[in-house]
This record gives sequence, structure tokens and C-alpha cells, in this order.
Amino acid sequence: MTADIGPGEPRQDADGQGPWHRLHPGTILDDALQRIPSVLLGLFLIFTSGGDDAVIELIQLAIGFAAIFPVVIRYMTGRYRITPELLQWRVGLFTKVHTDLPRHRIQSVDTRISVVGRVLGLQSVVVSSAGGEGEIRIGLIDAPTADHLRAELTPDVARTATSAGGDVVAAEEVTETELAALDASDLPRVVAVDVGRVLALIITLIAGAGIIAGIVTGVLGPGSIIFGLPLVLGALGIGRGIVTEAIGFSSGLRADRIHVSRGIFARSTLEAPLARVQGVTVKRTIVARTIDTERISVDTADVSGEGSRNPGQAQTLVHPIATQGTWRRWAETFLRGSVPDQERFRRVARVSLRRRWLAVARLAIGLVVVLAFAFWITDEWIDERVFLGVALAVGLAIPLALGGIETLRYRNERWALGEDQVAFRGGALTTTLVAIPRIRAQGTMISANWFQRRHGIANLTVDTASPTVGGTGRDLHLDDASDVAAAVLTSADQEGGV
Amino acid sequence: MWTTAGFEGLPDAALGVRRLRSGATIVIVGVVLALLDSGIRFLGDVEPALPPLVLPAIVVVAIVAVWWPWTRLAWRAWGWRLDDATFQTRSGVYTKVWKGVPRDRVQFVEVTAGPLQRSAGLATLVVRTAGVRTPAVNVVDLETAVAEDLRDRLSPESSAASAHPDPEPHSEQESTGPWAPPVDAPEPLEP
Repeated sequence: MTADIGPGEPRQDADGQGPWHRLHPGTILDDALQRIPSVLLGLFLIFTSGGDDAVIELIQLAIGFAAIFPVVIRYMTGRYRITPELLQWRVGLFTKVHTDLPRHRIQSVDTRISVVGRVLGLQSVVVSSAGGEGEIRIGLIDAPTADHLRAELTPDVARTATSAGGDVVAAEEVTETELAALDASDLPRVVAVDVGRVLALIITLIAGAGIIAGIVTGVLGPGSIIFGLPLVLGALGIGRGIVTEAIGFSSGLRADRIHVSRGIFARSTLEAPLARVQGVTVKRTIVARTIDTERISVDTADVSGEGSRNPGQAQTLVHPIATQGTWRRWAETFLRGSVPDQERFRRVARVSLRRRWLAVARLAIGLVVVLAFAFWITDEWIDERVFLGVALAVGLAIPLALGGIETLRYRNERWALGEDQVAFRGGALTTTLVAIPRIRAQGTMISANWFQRRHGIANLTVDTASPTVGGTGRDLHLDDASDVAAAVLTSADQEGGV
Repeated sequence: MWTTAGFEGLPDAALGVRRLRSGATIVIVGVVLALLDSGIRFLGDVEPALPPLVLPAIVVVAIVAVWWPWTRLAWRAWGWRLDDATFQTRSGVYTKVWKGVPRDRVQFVEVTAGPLQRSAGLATLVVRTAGVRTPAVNVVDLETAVAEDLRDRLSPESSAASAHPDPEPHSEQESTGPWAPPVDAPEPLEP
């Protein structure tokens, strides 16, 4: 069966496997917007050429066109087709990329709509695979073609589950449910709970504004804009990230998938097939705990093999400010199994706190040695009392602060082995809880150094196919770690995949 | 966990190969130290307190004194175990590490051997899963025949056959074929 997908301009079907399809010309505009700096540079060089020296002019023109040329490459050379077995993608002029993705390896099919796409009614379809073949972005293409492509490529495996006996059966359908629908009124809460990013935004803005103020007042030269622009762009990026988690953010369950849509001008729709969810991550900052919210994400398999480089691709935010405790209900749906009860969460071994403070003490001793050495070599330049004051502040404040954080961490660390899931909680100021279905474990690891073995404790890692979720318990009693490992190993499902 | 019975150790030849392998590194370190010692004496103005090459020799002897028994301890600490459901390894001297992989999760298995290993009849078994943090469980310096046997038994098809044995084998040949679970499989993992 060869898919006939939409209008386009199919090329000759030379091998009888079906026609090749081109992208929409709007791709050029979209690529141009994504490469604004090089396009501007190219245009600048082209339009400012025309000096007396013909050689320089020629070089300037060549560099200008070379800077603009990549913008048209994807449109000119990008071709795709669907054969009964493969999704094939060809792109590139000098460096040719030929990707043949077996259709049975397709794990997820997402939609991304850029600003250009929104204006022109075009979309990109992003197909992710298992086994490291990578990700294929087909677009821009018109919306009906995208719908057809999505329907054609949606992996059957997501619609099915494998029973313990190895027979493929229909996956349990879930009721269509709206999980999150946020708007501008939720923005203050989204901003408030994301303390880290807000701090980064403020620092970046202050630094950028400082540089621009310096240029305006003449303290800094105009060339300093080189440092100011990236900061402003960075701040915009961070701000955009926060804002799009509120305005226009929506998520829901449809059939067997979690759908997440976000973006104001450029919208993207992500799909996480429930059959591929490796775990649920719940984050609570101090502010979130105060206003009774939690940030819930689902972690999917490292489907494109890119996860280790860009773990964000494997984590899909479902709700940035869900009501506290919501994760239990959702985790049971997402992970298809019961969540461990609150009473089943156990603390790590008590000796762990001593071990952490011993590590802090070692650090303090190291600091004292370094400071003593610094005092010895700067003896003649720095006043003795000033040096001792600074040394005391550094030598005491850093270990005490670290010790405090480690104590908080110890108090927050918990683990639980449930009937269907294993869960770990940790973190000092921001707590993170991960719930992993036992059937999704790829392996377990237990490690213990001499000190830990002496006290009968060990570290446990439960590995999954997602780069963003893995259970790690530090300083569990060795018997507990062994029990969890044995339980996880014996309950991995029989699919043999991810 | 670290002393559980049923783990197979590495062959004696593995100890020799490991000593040869890391011995080469020690020789390189010794040569570099000797060159530095000589260079300082010929090019620098300082006159070291010790006679030529004595300091490099002391350093090398100290390294060997620690490394020789440590290599033996590390070799003894290595172990692997295959049962119906899992493949496990353990290793480490100061920090001991135990890894377990469900056989159903094995994506593929490979056996590799360098010239040194081939000369001693050894090979490295690499068992890969889709896991991100522990994507591969390696057993370095297994006997080649053992590594190849493990590869055959651990390959996904074999594991599937082991996990879902045909309930009604059509003949005795099938029930005792190469994909059948090992007859002398060790006891399951002890907690």
C-alpha cells in the first residue's frame, strides 16, 4: 500500500515504490526566519557590495549568497515518500542526508506550527523513531497533507499493547479528558512557581539592560552591543518559555495519547503515546508547595536517539501548576497501574545523613588547606585580618550551606515499591518525584563503596529508556535495594522493547 | 548481593591479559618519568638530590606494588550470572557494582575481541538494552566460547523463546534446541 498524500508535486516513481513529494514553498520563508542572523548578514553583504575592488566585491557577494543559500536548500532538495515499509526523507545538496525510517519503528508523530505556518496555514510533521535513526521533520506542508501524513504514520504499536503471553491485544482506550487549559490569568502563578527560571530571566535582563545603558551613556563603546544582544535574546527566550506555559497552554488525553499544545504565535502540538510513557515526573518548588501546586511531566522513550543531547525532547510538560496531589490520579492513567500509597514511601538509611556531613567535612578541610596556601603566598599583599575574615566566611559559610542543603535533601529523600510502580523522591529546596512503571525498567544497578558496605547501605538506580527519568535512591539499606532490584527485574514486561 | 553464590568468574587467562594491558600503561608512565628526569638534569639548572632515574624507578615500583594485587582483586571481583529471567554482573574492589538486566529487555548482544584478547582466547561480551543510564552491560575478558554461548543465549529471539517456551513442543528436538532455557540455570536472584 502506497500512500497518496495530497497535492504537492510528486516526482517520477522510478522504482515503483511510490512518488516523491516536495515541501511547500513557504518552507523558504520559514527557514529564513529561523536563520535571521545569517540572512541579515547575507543581505547586508550583497547590498553593500559594489566597491572599486572587483575581487573584494566578488568575495563579498559570494559570502553573502553563501549565507543566504541554506535557506532555500531544504525546499529545493527536501523530498519525502511513504512506502509500505518505510518513510523516506532526502535532503541536502553538498551533504546529502538520506533517511529511511522503518514504519514499525515510528514511535511518535508530532505537529509543529511556526509563525509562518500559522499565517499560511501550513504545518510541520515531526516523526520520531526508536533505535537512533533520528527525527524527521517534514515541513512545511499544507494542513490536509499533514493530517493525512499523520494518520498514515501514526504507529500501530501505540494503539496496541502486548499481553504477558506475548500476544498483541488492543490497548485500553482512555476517556477523552482535558488535563490543562491555561490562559493569561494563570501567568502569575506559572511565573511564581518557576523560581529558577525567573531568577535567570531577571539576571539576564539586568545584565542586558546594564550593557545597553552603558552604551547609551557612553561608558561602553557601541561594539559592546555584541555582548548585550545575546543577553537580550536569551532573556526573550526564557520569557517566551515561561509565558507559553500559561497563555495558550493546553493538554489532554485523546484515545491512547497525551496531547500537549503550546505557543502563542508559533504553536506546537506534542503527542506522547501512552504505550511509550516511561515515567511521570512531579516537581514542586517552595512557592509551588506554598500555593499547593505541582508541575507534572511525562517522560517518553529516547525515541530519536537525541535524548542524551537534548533531554527536553523526551519530557513533555502536561501541567505546570496542577493542584497538589493530582499526579497520583494522572500517574495511574498514564502509567496504567496503581501508584504506591503515601504510607509505602520510606526514608533512606539514617546513616546517610552522617555520610553526607562527613563529605561536607572533607570539603571544609580541603577549603582550609587551599585558604592556608593562599594566605602563605599572599602574605605580603593582603592585610592579615582582612584575609582571616574572608577565609572564615568562606571556610565556614560554604560547608555550612552545603551541609544544610544535604540535610534538607536527606529529609526529602524517599522511595516506594508499589505493586505496579516504583517511585523515588528527592531534592532539597525543589523536590522531584519520579514514578516509574515496573514493567518499563530496562535494568537496575546497585553500587556501594567501602563505607556504604560497612553500614549495609547502597545506591540503587532503576534505568528506563527515557533520558529524563530514572529512579535513583541514595543510601538505601542494602536489603531494600536488593528487594527493589529483584522486584523490578522480575516484572519487566515481555515486549523486549521500550 | 556481593557474595551471592552462582556467579561465574573470569578465566585465569583474563588476569594475565589485564596485567599485560595495564602493564603497558605503567611502562609508558615509567618512560615519560625517565625522560622528564633526564630532561630536567640536562636542560635545567637544578641538581636533583637523587641519582639519575632513581625517582622514576621509585614511582614505578610504588605503582606496581599497588597495581599488582589490585588487578588480582579486581579480576576476582568480576562475575556474571545468567538465569531464566535476568543477566547479572558484579564488579569493583572499593566501590562494588551490581548490574541486572531483564533478558526480555536485551536489544542486541555483541562479542568483540582485540588482538591481545584473541591471542589468549578471550573476548568482550556487550549486552545492550534501550536503557539510557546503563545502556550496556559489558563483561570484559570472557573465554571466547563462553562469550559466544552467552551471545546466543542472550540474543532477543533466544530470550523470547526462553521467556515464552512453546507450551506444546512438537518434538524432542525442539524442546532441547539451542533456544531452550539453560538446564543448569542458577537459582533466581536472592534479595
